[in-house]
Amino acid sequence: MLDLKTSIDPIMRERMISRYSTVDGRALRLLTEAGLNWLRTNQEIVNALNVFPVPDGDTGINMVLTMQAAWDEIATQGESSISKVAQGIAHGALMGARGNSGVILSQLWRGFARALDEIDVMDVQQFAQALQEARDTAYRGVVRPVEGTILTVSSDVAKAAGEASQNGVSSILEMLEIVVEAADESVQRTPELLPVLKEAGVVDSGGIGLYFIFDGMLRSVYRMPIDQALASVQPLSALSLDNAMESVEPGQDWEVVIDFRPQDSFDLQTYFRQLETMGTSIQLGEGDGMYRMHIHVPDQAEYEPIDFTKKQGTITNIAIENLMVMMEDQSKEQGFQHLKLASVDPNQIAVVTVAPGMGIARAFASLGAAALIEGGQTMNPSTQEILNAFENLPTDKVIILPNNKNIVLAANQAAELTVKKVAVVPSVSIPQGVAAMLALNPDGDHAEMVRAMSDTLADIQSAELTVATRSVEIEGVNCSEGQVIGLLNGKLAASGDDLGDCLIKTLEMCHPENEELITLYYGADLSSNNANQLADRVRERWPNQEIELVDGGQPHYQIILSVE
Amino acid sequence: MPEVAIVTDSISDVPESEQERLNIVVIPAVVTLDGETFQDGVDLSRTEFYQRLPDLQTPATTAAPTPLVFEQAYERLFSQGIKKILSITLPPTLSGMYNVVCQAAKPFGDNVRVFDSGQITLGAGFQVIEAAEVARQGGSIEMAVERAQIVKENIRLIAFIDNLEFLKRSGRINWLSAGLGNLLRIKLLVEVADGVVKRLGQVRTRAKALDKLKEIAESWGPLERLAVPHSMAPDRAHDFASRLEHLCERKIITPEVTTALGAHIGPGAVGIIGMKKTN
Repeated sequence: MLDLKTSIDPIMRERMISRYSTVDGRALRLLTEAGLNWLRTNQEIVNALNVFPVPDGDTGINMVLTMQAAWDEIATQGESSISKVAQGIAHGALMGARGNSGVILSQLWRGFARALDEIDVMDVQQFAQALQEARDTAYRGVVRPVEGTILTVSSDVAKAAGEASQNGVSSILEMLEIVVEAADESVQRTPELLPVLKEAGVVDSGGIGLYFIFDGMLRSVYRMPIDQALASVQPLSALSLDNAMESVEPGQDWEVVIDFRPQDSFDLQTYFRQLETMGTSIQLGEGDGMYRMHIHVPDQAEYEPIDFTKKQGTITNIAIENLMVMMEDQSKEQGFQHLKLASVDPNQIAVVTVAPGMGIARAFASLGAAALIEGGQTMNPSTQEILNAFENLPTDKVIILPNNKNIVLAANQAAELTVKKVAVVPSVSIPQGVAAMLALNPDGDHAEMVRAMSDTLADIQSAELTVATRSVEIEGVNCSEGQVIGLLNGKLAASGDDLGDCLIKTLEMCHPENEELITLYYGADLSSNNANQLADRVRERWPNQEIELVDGGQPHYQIILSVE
Repeated sequence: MPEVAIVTDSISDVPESEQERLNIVVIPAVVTLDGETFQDGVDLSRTEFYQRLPDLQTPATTAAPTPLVFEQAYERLFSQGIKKILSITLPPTLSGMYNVVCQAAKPFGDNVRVFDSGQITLGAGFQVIEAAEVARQGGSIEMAVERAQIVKENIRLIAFIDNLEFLKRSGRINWLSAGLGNLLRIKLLVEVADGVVKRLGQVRTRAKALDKLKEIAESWGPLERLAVPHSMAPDRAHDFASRLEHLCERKIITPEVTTALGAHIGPGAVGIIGMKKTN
């Protein structure tokens, strides 16, 4: 990370330190905007830090969308009281929170705002207290806090700020410098606290996201650019190009991916800056002297990055894809609104469930879901979206099935934000959601139904098959980028080159011979013909078990399966 | 010689041995398979029925016989010296049998009492058997009715349907939503009480279905009689019955349900019918 203190003009720094001795609402607005923008600029770096090499709910996108919602709440606000502005931020973040990191971020803002209640102008002591309250609120919001995550970073930051305020630091700006440094160090330490990060060779994504927010605030004070990403190069294998769809911006029609071997005079920074004039969503990967560049560009400009890269070295491979067509194809498959959902009476229990694909949505609808939220592994719905899904239902008794571990917290948050009686049954997979759904009796007692549905979660084994987005060795399983991997009950369990082999290997670990039913939900990437062939292989291997094949239509995951 | 006789129909699933021992008259229901009409249990064996069931062009249908069949049965009994008849039948909510029986009984005035069992298979059958015991011991028609009523109040019937296709095709259950089980095969858990089929829940495996049934049966308390009926799943029913032995002192019977029910529930279903201790 950039060492700001050495690159800042000392006279300017002195001036700014006195100007930012305290901070009011207007200043907090500017700082928040800068934090959001710097996070947005670096979101690909955050996204790439996945522990599991799977197309995942992207932390970077989730945090940006959460911060964006916070910013939207205060963007046009004329308030000068910091308490009012902080409350606006907290409310916006709360409603826009997506994914676990987004939810924790919103909790941090909530605590921050609470500490500043009735305060117009914040001084150093109050800043330190607000950071401490932010930390405390976030920890309280999580059932089992895990160290080595965004929580730890918030904790280290609060601690550093508390010490600094006791040691006589008198300017918010100085404090912010300390905070940024503490956040940076804390992020670097995350692999020591969370072995799974160390094993995967990454730092915590949510933690670094929080760092970028603080760092963006500091950079804006020092008038340093916050719209150009740090020209970071990831290992080639870390490029998660699968997720490009999530960050398509209007006007960017083409996705261009170029593999090239740079010539000796190649300068990364210059190359990166030039690309930034052409398009967005730039990602660079490097490995074995080869580079891979990924960019989204507008129509008519799709050859610009190719012509430009040609001058930088030898191109070995080019892939161009029309994003608009990809988007259309995707939206064609959507349309949950056409599904026939269960109608609920005012006294009945309504189940709201998250579904990643049309087929799975249809299955949930057939089992009596009253509302469906589109989303899943790669697109985590926000608190607001979850809230919207059930606010208009004619009943006050609601149960939410998040069906993904990264949606549980946002669902919990939505449950707290309504006057309705809402409970979350914390399903973390589609099969768990289905099992819970089966236990539903809409006329039952709410609390009893929550218990009954929760009880089903442990009765079922779920696994997923997808393609590794990078090479990694984790929990004793090796996989390289592009290989098929099997995740059993959320843990990396098998890898291989062939989907069928990997499916059998993963299934073997579930010991279907002791069970009765194997359900295979096949994804949008598989044809029904291929899926049937896979089902035949499974049938051949376990002839005494019932095999059920369902067109799930989920993205990224070739197979989601359950054994029960 | 008793003066009261009990008449029922084949849907009560009264075991043949009990029919003979207690002189119970059983009128067969009518089953139609692809246009061919059979008398339930008389000219169509249950095994043959289930073998044909999946391959039928049109859903199997069941019907009550004409009132004449009942009338003739009543007349025969009266000619044998019976003074009063108790005709125990299916609930009107589930079958046209009740109306047919009422029609047949009308000409006989007070001499034929029609009793709505509110139940099916041995849920009704246990009422028939208990009422017949009263009759055999020389009890009056009032005593037989009273006994049937007490038993009726103490009957519990739960079951799981292995394959929903047949129930859907039969169109008998209005709450069975079109979507249910279309995408994911499910085992439906049902309860029959007071002539109504209620949905208890659904699971995806037989093991879970049986566990759930067992759990419910264990909550009933001590049982006087216990049956584990099935549709073409004798092994499953026997195994399951052996897990329920602690619930009832009397031997558990495991009858194959009548074809008239099998046509609606399809093969593979297993249930529990309990009669709670009444004293």
